[in-house]
Amino acid sequence: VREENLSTSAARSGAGPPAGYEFVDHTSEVTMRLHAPSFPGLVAEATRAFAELVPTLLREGGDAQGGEWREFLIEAPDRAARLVGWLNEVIYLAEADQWLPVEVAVSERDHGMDVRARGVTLGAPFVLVKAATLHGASVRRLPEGLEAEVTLDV
Amino acid sequence: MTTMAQQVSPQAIRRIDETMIEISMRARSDMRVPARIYADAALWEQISRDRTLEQLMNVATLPGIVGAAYAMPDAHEGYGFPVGGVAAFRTSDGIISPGGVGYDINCGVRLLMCNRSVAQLGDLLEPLVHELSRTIPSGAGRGGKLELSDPELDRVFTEGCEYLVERGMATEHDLLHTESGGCLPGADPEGVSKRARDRGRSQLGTMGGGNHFVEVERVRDIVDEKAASALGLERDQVALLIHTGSRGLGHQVCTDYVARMDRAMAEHHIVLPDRQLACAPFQSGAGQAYFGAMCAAANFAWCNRQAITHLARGAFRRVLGPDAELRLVYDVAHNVAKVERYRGEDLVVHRKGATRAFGPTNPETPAAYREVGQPVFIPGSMGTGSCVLVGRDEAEQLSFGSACHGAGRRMSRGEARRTSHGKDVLRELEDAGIVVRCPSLEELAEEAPYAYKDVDRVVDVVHRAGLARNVARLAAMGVIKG
Repeated sequence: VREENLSTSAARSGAGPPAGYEFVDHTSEVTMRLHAPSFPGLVAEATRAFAELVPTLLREGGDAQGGEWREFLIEAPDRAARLVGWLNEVIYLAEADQWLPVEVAVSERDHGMDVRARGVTLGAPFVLVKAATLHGASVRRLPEGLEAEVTLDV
Repeated sequence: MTTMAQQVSPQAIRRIDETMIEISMRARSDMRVPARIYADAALWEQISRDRTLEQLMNVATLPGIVGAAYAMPDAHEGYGFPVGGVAAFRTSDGIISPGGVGYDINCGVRLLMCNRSVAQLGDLLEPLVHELSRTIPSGAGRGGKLELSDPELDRVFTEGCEYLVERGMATEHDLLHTESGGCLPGADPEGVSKRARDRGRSQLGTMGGGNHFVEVERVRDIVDEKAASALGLERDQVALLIHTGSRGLGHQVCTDYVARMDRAMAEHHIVLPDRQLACAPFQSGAGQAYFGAMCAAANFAWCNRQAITHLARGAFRRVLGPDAELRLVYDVAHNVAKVERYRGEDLVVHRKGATRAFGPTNPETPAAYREVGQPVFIPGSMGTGSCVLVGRDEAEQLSFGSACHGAGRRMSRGEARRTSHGKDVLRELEDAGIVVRCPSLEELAEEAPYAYKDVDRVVDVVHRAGLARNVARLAAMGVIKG
């Protein structure tokens, strides 16, 4: 495990189940493991985990105080694919629009989810993550909440 | 820790010879063909540690697969297919899988020889590396100097490197020394989404990050004088090795079609052991749409390496003088699916982290190399050097004309970072006389030599297995990382 954010992010959920993310070893790629009490919480943790991969330098070059909100519809047959679909949206936005989502509000719907995201402008395109994959993508219910894994191609 | 090999029934694993192990179809009820791994004892032990074997056996379950699912000696865990995986499917009733090509469509390597020796280079190495790093955009956030309109992108997709000849960025010699002439037929610009175009529009002539690189090399050893002579390699000659692919454009093409095929798996009645193997019958609408878009992305990748070559030629001339030349030896793809004919049957051969290695008699081998075989490049890790080989005719029977694509990771990026700091890696490389330009010390640690398998061992297995013949060894003098 490269880095755990469970302790700091536990505070995000108050006294409830822990929320957070960690990066798990994979021979060539990056696997993120996410915990949250709810599926919208998992999407929020995935957004935070991805943001951690963006070099500070790029973020300093942009508008760190940016408060623009955008709305997205992610269509996918199940929660694991929705999580992967959202991360692929984030990857596209960070590269093509130089816009990095940092805060999200999620509501699930049939065959997908609506995401409202606040993002910051980047000083340059972020190109170091190619894609989020379906390999081993999962959302599991544990006694203490939900756990998800997504592998990124880097 | 239980290795993957220990989870497979011992009766199902058989060493065929010193360079190959076979996992029989008895290992799992869903396998349609055996899995064959090119490895000696040490590489087998490394390959068995992660999920490479499980992923290879997953590939063996896919409809229409022919012969065996192969893993090259540099294989390691990927997603869907293992990296270093080769599989061929009948075009008549088999599948095509974006996950069997990977996100970096037509990632590949090209080698160029300079008309300068190390002695002639003198003390200009550092200025040369500096000029290359200044000239070739790399790493996070650096776009290219070309901004392509949609009609221009369409020409890149359909004409490949031929289009860059018209723009003065390539020569006829370059086309003749690029796999498939730098252009796969069958590209369909309509299949490339607006998103993919947006990601790739300003990226032609850029290296990107990760394990991509541009390296100034010297020819350190020549193993096969005849083949080296045919390739135009001389001991202590200066060379340039370029490793990159289709950048964001290819990544988005793969993303688009994995999602599309994942949603349609039930429609094709295909059950997968791993969703990233999402696929479609080659002859189906989705299969043909992906193939057309993948060919377009592959042609973009060849143009990308060609555009970098154009930039590098300018940098060499500025530093070494107007008569400095970079002659393209060859350009090989290592993430691609191509239709090739074996034993009278058309097959769609997926190579993910594997290099085509055609022998002397294959018509696709360039005329200049018909005596020796198609050049194959196996980059080692930074500091350990890279290898030049030539393909053998026997490889067509042994691995659908394929060899490996690198040393292959043996350590995760996290483990590499925990093993040593980037500053220490940098110092070690500089102590070895290698000039390094890398924007991130963290990334330098991730790509450290100890994170990769022993390239000499990998090449030895390729050579002894009959996949390709060892020709020469290059040593890095300057490394520019993305």
